[in-house]
Amino acid sequence: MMATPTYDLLDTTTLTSVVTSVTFSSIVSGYKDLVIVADIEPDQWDSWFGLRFNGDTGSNYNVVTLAGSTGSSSTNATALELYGRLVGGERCLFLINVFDYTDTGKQKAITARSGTPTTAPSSAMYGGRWASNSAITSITFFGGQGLSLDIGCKISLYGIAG
Amino acid sequence: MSFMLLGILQSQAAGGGASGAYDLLSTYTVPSTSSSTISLTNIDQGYKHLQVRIANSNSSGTGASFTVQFNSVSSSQYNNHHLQNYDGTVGTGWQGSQSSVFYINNGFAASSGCVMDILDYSSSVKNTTVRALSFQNSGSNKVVWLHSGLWENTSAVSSMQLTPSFGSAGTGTRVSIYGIKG
Repeated sequence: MMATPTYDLLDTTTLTSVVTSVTFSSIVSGYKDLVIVADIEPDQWDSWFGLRFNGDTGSNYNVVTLAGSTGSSSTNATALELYGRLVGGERCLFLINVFDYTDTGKQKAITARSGTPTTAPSSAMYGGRWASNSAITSITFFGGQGLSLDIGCKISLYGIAG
Repeated sequence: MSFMLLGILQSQAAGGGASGAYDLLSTYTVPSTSSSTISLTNIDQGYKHLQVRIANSNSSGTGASFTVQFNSVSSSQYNNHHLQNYDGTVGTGWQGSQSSVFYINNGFAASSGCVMDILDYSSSVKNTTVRALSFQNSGSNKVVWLHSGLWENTSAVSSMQLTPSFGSAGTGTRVSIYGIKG
């Protein structure tokens, strides 16, 4: 096959007001993987960055995390919980890979890295699984424990052919 | 050992055909559960770095880690280091002078994924370095790995061999390779 240029920007948003969530909907199906780049700043206390696929709020999300010298995992959670050490007023950067997001023969696998280059520096990596074979058509991003996403947060979604 | 050859035609990237900074070179999807080696051959030399993305499948109840070799070299030229959270225990590991294997743990019996970067693969004056992030997350096996690897050989990488270990590549497992301009 010929080399095929890919890594296409599908959607992006930069917040101009404080919101509780951001949803990218009607995600096109013409790619194999998705990459999400998120520059997140919560409006208040420590929490996590959450993702849900297709609006699913069931107990279908699993994440294993390595943050600094600490390992943890969450099983059968109601969202993909990425503990990037979100601290109010400070930025945290996420790079998230979603594999074979349209494949109805697979549960959905996710890898991610995050970093907080601020007063509470932290880096983390994650492996996650959404226990569903459904094709992903929408992704909702939100702050855990009720926090909101502050002005200036930027989330971009890319598609990669495969 | 059987092989599945996945030829990668020389693209026109170096000659000005493809114009992207991140190009899909080739992809292979395992048609049925198999322990055969997936061989990526004739890798285009017109890029700076390579990225391999593996989407493991649990559709057949199997899963596999992969050993990786370059240019079919099977002598003791591979060194690995990893940082991991293995079922809640954080640890590191190192293996030197490995006999032809570089492990990319990519999950057993579960959907999982791996992103592997091969840096300066076409250089003939540098040993080849690799970085990979992978995981498994099923049942009692919850592990995330950050791997780094060194192939002590200055040859340009023209082919890669990925061999399932500790299992088989399940039906639908996909391996895609990309070229990155630099």
